[in-house]
Amino acid sequence: MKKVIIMLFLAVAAGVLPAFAANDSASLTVKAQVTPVFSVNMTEPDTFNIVGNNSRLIPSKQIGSPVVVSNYSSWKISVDSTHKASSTTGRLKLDDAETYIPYSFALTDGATTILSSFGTASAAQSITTRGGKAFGLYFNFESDDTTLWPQGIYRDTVILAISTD
Amino acid sequence: MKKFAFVAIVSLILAVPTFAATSNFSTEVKAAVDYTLTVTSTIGTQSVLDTTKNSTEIGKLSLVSNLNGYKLTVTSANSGKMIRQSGTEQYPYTLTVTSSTLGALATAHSLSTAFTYTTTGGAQPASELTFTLNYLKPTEYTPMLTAGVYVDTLTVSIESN
Repeated sequence: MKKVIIMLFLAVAAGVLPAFAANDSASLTVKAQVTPVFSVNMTEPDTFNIVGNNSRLIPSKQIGSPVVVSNYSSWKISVDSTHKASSTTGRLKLDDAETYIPYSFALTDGATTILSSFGTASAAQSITTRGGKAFGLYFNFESDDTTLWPQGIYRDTVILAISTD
Repeated sequence: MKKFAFVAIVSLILAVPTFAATSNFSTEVKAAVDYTLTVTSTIGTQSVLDTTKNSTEIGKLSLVSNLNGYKLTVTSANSGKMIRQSGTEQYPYTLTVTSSTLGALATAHSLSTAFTYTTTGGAQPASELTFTLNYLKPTEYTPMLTAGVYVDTLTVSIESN
């Protein structure tokens, strides 16, 4: 009887002994999602006087400072105009009339103009800070000695678009 | 005790989508052109009519304006009649107004009521208005007009529509 008990003990003990050469592995994939941030905004510009004290069109006006916030590493910006006459000439339209004041525009990055054609994408831009990257949007006007622009309010709608490739 | 050795392979995957993203923003730009109206007149404070003729041009108004139209009003203090000084006799006349850009605005218009003309068709950048008074010669009246000086006062005003 005593022998039987010892044998059973050895048998059970053998089953739980560590195997000397045993090994195992497992892999784990960890994912983290960074939500895309991609927006462009600009404060709505106030109505401005387009004729100066000399009765001529003002030469230039900063319309606003578009701010782009992007965590894409490469993106582009473009500008368009509802009343544009060509790829380089936008127009401000007189209310209730077919009278237009033409303008050219410049989208600047600091002192550098990065865009001056409507509907054309800029060169690739890089990821911005959380506060975004501010540009300058300027309208430039050509004046002459004779044109007397009719009194009233002139409007155009400017569309700022950003896109990744 | 069985021991398991874990080897963790950690892959960090930045889950930024690879498809193209776009975002648009539009805003209205508004520019104002204020009105300007400059009137230059050759009409004197007094005009003497040539009564040997049936009409006299009393002067011109030159307008430089970017108004979207304007209203011209001419009124007579005596309803289109000159009144003899120190008397009550009347010497009636009519008014003709011609615009260099719009043509005749009034032809032999009686000033028994004020004459008004409102431009249409938008701005009139520059124009010249010529004012002429029409009348009979004193000798054409029967009986003839009493000798004397006949006077009336005309008021010309221009305002935006």
